[in-house]
Amino acid sequence: MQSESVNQWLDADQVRALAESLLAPGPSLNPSPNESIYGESFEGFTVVAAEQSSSKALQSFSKANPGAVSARGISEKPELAERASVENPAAVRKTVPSLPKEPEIKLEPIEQPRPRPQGAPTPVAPQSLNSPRLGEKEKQRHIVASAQAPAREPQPASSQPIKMKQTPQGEVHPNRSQRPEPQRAAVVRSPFKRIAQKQPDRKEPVQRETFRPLPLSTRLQAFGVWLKEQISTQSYFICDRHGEIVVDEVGSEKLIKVARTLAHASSSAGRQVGDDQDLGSLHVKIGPDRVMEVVPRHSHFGLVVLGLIVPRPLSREAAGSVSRALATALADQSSPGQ
Amino acid sequence: MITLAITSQKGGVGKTTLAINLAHAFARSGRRTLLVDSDPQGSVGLSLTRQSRHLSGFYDMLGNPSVSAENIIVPTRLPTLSLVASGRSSAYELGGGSMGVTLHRVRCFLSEVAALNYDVCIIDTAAGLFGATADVLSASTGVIVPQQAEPLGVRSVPKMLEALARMRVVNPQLQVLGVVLTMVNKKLPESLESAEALRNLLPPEMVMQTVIPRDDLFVKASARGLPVGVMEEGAEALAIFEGLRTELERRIVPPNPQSAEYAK
Repeated sequence: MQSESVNQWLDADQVRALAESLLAPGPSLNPSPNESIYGESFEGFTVVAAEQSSSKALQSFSKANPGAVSARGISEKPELAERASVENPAAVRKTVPSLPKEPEIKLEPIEQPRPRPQGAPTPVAPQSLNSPRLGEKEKQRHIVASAQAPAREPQPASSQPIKMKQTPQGEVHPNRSQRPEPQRAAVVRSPFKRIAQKQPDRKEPVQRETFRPLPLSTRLQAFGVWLKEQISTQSYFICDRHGEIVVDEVGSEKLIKVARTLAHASSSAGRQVGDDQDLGSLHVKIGPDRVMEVVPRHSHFGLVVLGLIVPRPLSREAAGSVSRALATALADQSSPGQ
Repeated sequence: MITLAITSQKGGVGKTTLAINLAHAFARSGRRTLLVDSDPQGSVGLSLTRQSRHLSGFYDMLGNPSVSAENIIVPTRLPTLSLVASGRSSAYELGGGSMGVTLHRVRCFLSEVAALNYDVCIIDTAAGLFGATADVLSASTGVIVPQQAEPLGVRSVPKMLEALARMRVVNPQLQVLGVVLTMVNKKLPESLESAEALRNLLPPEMVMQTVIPRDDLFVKASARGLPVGVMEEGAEALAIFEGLRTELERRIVPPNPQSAEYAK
């Protein structure tokens, strides 16, 4: 029997039902392979040690532990997606939810290809490959080829149904759980820097009237080509701070959401320590031979998130090179020197 | 390591008293216990040390990733009990925590604490299940809800349950260990009536058998910066929190091999 001072103030049946629901054990958080587009080998944020602590704690209770994250918005900046779509609507898709299984738009050949010597990025040769017989360019090609070779070997087909769009180069093997080794391609130079480095050789100053910057969409396409040639990128996407897609070859809303969440958290953490650009390698394992590398980059558009599907995590130097190349591609080139 | 959050929607229900004395009870049982103050008021630190204003603590850790758990853990006279003060929370109070980042920092902190071989981490929280408290609950394994044995306290139970239900969406594995009746005044009929009403209202397994009485000794202990069980006249209070610890351990904590009561 309840006190008059209490039962007039609340619905006892409702309260009891709510309390009983709280006493029920939590649902298992191990999604079935059919529920998870990442497959059984999905490891989550591999750079976050805290996930391990939660698991340890819950292992003592013989239960699983959640890792709930949520996306959030960021500050006001120019609209990257809108600008890119205006410049080249064919290369842009506006929203994620309406994604078809096959990407509507694929990167088409660049209409105005830049000269190869300027546009082709070249990795720095490791010291062990300083052969005097090889020309500089041949050495660099050799390094890139050797770095890409293991990643491009054909993989056996997986029996696990994976919803995420697969590329012919890398199949997902959910039963494997080996942590991928970082790629050894240490430093990759941006194609855009090469152009910038050559400019000081000009004796005459560049005239503003004669400088004709490439459209943003063209620069992003060139950047995409560079990613595939130099970083072994199988597919990639770029989205702005609102999650609006600028380029998407991945076709997975969930992966993009995961990337945005990781990028926002890492970017905020980076700002707290005073270094919001050199965030190192942020990656999520999505399969035995597939890693989503997340490269957040602050630009005049705000935070831009680049997601790469690569066979192995990028080294810190490679991630930095990608980040700088992305910044260059996004830079407002309406004036020389930018 | 298990992480127990002590939280409630309503303020002034005895969260800090419960946290301090429960941590003391766990530590006395031989478990390496860390008491963390996540209440910006800093009540734990103010209760146990005169230097609390100068101690870096929980909010320093939230605001600065370079601050590690080891930097802010303060030992006590009881070797198995350490504490983390609230620290300087002004930046957090002004700017709030970035969603996701605070939770990440809390999880990193708990990971470091676990690596330091603590068995139990008890976190005293501010009133209300939002902000840093929500992040603490998102990273905790269990929650204990002190509930004032007064009519107003009981009337606030639905709000508290609703908030906990929301937290279980974020952290489905969060175990609601139970409601602890606090400030029970045996001389006051309304208090006893409220305690009875709460037991009638909630499922029996949700309300702890142990009740915390209203006792001037808690005020005296706070004045001296001690857990009440350390006081000369604190034997009865010590027994109460030992009983609560035992009750809690039966619910969640794996048996302690060093404890004689589990050898039976």
